[in-house]
Amino acid sequence: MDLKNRAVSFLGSGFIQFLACLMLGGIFIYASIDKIAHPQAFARVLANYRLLPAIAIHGVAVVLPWVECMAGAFLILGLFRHSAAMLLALMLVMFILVTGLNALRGVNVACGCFSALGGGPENPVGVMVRDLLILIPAVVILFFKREEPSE
Amino acid sequence: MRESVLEIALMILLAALIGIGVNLLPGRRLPLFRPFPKVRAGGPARESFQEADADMVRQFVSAHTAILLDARPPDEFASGHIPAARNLPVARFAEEFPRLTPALDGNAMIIVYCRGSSCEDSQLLAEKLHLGGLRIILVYRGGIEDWIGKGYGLEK
Repeated sequence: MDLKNRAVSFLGSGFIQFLACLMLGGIFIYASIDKIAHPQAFARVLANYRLLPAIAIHGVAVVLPWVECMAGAFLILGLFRHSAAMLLALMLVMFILVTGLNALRGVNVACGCFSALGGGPENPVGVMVRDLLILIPAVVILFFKREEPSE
Repeated sequence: MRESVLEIALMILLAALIGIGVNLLPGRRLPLFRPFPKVRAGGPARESFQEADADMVRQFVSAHTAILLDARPPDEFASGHIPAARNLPVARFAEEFPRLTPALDGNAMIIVYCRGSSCEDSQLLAEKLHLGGLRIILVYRGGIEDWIGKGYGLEK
């Protein structure tokens, strides 16, 4: 077996897949807690991004943290695993694009990624690199999971 | 692929139902369909707070009807602060606020101050406290400089 096949086999193994689900799901559940606890603060974070229409901000502040939490929990529990990983990957790509867009526009705000209350503006490059690193377990789940043999 | 789209839609729907349901709980209600107040072009959204002066600070603090919070860094706080003030440095809010939370009732009157009228820490701290769920917040804009100028003593 060559190195490439070994790597694919390793990343597709049950243990690595479980670890990736635990990491990605855990990160998103952790990230949602403070936003769920302080929706008003999270609404302000969203408003400071200046990307959403004012009418949508409260709704997104109430629902988005629960989407993070639910998808993270589904992933860890093994329910809709592929779809949950896809949803979280899409959200990460969206966060990276939004951060990049704001960096280009010169709007530097607190990212509100893990805390709705604390912290000031963060380095957008650092935020994007962090999101790219979090994207790795999602890629492992989406592209390396072995197909279950059909009966 | 179609199956994934349906499952994602189901997860989002479930999250929306839970989020909206939790939002209906007393004390948590965000007005879902009211536009968020406009953000100023030059910076993040700002709240305006009622102002306190030195005499109000003395009166409320001596009567134990308000909690006084010093927004300056710990070294400045240690070098002298208004008697009975507690230190809650704005730069360490996320770490320090949970420590103070048991003493802060949502209906307690909070007075915040920093160095003086030129510093922004008291305003920033007031905004964070407001977002943290505290409702009655006053800003003593004169801060330490005004307090000393009035001839009142500091505590170390």
